[in-house]
Amino acid sequence: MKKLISMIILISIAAAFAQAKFGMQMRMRSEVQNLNSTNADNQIYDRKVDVRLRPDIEYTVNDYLSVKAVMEIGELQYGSGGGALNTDGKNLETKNIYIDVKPTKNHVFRLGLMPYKDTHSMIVDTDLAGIMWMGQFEKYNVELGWFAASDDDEKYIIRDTYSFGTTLVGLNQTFHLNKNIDLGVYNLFVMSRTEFMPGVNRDYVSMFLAPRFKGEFGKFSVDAQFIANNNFADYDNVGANSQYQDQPWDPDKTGIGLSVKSKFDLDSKTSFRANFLFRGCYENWENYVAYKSFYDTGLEIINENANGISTHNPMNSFVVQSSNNREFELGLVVPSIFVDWKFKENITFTGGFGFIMNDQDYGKKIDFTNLDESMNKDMFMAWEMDFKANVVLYEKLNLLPYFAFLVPSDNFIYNKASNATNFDENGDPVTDMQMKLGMTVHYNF
Amino acid sequence: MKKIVAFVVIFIMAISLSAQFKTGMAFRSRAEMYCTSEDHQLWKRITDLRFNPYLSYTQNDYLMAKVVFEIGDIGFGNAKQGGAIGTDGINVETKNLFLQITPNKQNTVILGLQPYKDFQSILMDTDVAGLSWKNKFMLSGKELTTFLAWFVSADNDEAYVDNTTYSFGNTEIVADFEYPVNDKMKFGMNNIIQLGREFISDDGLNEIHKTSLNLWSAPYFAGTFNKFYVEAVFGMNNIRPEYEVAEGDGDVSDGEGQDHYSPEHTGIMFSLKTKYDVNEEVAARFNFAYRGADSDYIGGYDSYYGIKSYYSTGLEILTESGCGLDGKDQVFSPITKFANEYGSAGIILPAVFVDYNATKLVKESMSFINNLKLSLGLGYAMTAVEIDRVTGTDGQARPESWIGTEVDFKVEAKMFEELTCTPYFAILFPGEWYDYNGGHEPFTKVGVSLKTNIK
Repeated sequence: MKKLISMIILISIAAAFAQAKFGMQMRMRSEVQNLNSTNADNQIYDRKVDVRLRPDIEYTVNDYLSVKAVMEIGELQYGSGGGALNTDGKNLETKNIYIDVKPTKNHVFRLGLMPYKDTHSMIVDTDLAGIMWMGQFEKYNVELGWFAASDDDEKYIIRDTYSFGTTLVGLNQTFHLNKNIDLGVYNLFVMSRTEFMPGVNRDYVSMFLAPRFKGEFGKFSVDAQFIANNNFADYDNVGANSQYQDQPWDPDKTGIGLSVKSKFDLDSKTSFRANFLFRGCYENWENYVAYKSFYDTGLEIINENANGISTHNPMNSFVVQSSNNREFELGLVVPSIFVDWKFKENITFTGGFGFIMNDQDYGKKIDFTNLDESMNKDMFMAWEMDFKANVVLYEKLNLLPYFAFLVPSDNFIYNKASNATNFDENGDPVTDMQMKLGMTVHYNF
Repeated sequence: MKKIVAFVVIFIMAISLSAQFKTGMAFRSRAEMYCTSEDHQLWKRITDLRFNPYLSYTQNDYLMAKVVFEIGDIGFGNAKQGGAIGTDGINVETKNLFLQITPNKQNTVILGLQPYKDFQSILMDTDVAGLSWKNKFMLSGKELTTFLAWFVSADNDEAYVDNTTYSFGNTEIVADFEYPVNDKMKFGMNNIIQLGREFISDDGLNEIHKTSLNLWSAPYFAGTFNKFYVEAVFGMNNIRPEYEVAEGDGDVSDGEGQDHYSPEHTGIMFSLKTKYDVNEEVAARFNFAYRGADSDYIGGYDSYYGIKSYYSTGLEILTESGCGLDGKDQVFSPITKFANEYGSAGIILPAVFVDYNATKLVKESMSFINNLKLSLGLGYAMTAVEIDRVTGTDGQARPESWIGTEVDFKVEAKMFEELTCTPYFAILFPGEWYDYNGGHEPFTKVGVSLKTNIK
């Protein structure tokens, strides 16, 4: 009888909210860091606390249709903007709104503002407006999407309409070889048109080809993604602009990238992880350039997607300067190792060590016509050590305290060409240690 | 026994909890490519979406509060609207927010931001802040519905001028009535009085305000006669602006030196919509819209316009409310477009449609389609008066009235029980109003609209 009553009550309550489900993710970060400079005389101990809330609601119309909206409030920085005295900020943002049409249980058509990423977030990881088909077959999964990253309107030039903006077409295929091994390949085509000068269009195409391998072999697992990208620009004088003479210097670019993430479970409490990032050049400045990456190296400082607030982003923040004042990103290698130790069921400590180096011995302050004039040909840039913990409270509350420090070399300074505070009064690089200390809190339901 | 009582109590609590709080939503997405530029053949491409979640809370039989949000329209790739890469646009709007008081079944009072529309949306079809009262009472055995409202469409603050406080903005008083003759016929009338005051100029000596007392009245009829359905509305407006010198001794004069120039606008509009069910699959519709034109501004204007109309002719281009994009660049409003040198050239717009229900044809092969309707439309538009237009290659002005002929093809597919998909193609062949020599490219729209909702 009790069971029957409980079941009826549960069904009644569930039925009342069957069509709409609410949820939310909350994140709060607090951090102090001095990453602004490698010169201790110029270092600022910057302190920040911020909070972000992502409420979501999902409506299930029927078995075939559902609509989901994810809003975002934040990041609200304590004492600034909507986090200052009196609060009341206008800061409710629309992150995602999409409709899922499921004609069968194996196929979903998604339309709207949706999250989109590649497996390692090394090419793209963002929210986009578009339409995507997600199909599941016996051993094969496919995602095919079209997205409008930007729409800068149309123009009528002489006798034709030209559409400006950026369009993406992505194709992600995964083949389940067996229960332990997945093979896949991801392709992204980015087509962009801008107005170089009145009547002259610049068409820019980026292509990414990313095969990947994911395998589990007993206690060892590995997930690797290789990426080749090719970018080229074409100029078209559709408006017959007489001032346009020749196509400007805008060379084709070819780059390669590699991300490997592996894990070895030593026992039930201890595991080792090794990560490897390679963002290399095909030749000289022809560097791998992601479209909109959000890559996680696992470290806290040399990272794009760390737990904390401030980082040195290995995907785009290391920029050298040539003698003709052009700035270039150079190839990087970031190997790192980690040890995770489960102290208790809800507490895990992590120690991490990694370093960053150029992928070849470029000369910094490069004059490509005279490489002998290079001022620095070192490859090693900096090493980093992290101490972290992951504490789970009340099943849903995650506390992530961390402490990380980075020891730079001269080469690190030359790879941060735009930051003048890294040099002393004589123009020589200063290599004092940098650090960050903080804690992040996640709460989801 | 205790268990049964506990069960009943908890069950009632669960039911009452779900009854108090309700949520629902409407989702719409449109993709369209259109070419409606008068000067050159510019093809615009837009995809957008709109999301309207709502929450309502019913306190008891007498009190209910409701809030409706609107997120959108978000153009795909549009950074200002939050549709570009990264999204995160600050674009959540409050569409409706009101308290509904229902003292008994005959009376409903709504206070707050609420929707309002007249019978065919030729006066006002929008959301507005105010107080409304809907009442039903028996008259000769039938229920007469009255709707009285006070709306504030614009409040532009007050000013203290020459020992007096003046309030700027617009206020609307609505009085609507509807009476059913029988189950298949009804009469009604929408009436709006708009009171307005706006600041015109201050030259240091005289502060001039424009005050207005504007009237709209629109009697209507709707009836079903066997296979034939007809609805008609006759809209009239009388716009009475007055120029008042709030401070100073000066006069207001027009270009010809006449004091206190304040021409009235008196206009009419007639709209007819009919439908005849030929058989179970085929229906024919005929719509007609007439809007009077201005002839001479001396002595007043003669053209009709609404406060915020959203009128549907049934067509896709010559309309205010199509199923595609309906901004001023995407549709040619029969109520606000087609001007002449005095004001409006008016419009005469007959349109015929044929609807074919093709559900039976696709039911077996495409079981996910619940209902499929194909529509073919043909509209012919001309201005109510001839206007001198220079649309030929010789640069000569000629009196013209023919706006053009529109042909539409539409499919309305209801699929997966709740998803309505409407692909459409519309082409407006320009008449001599645009094109005397015949070389003008047609105005074209092609697109698809998707809609679903939970009530």
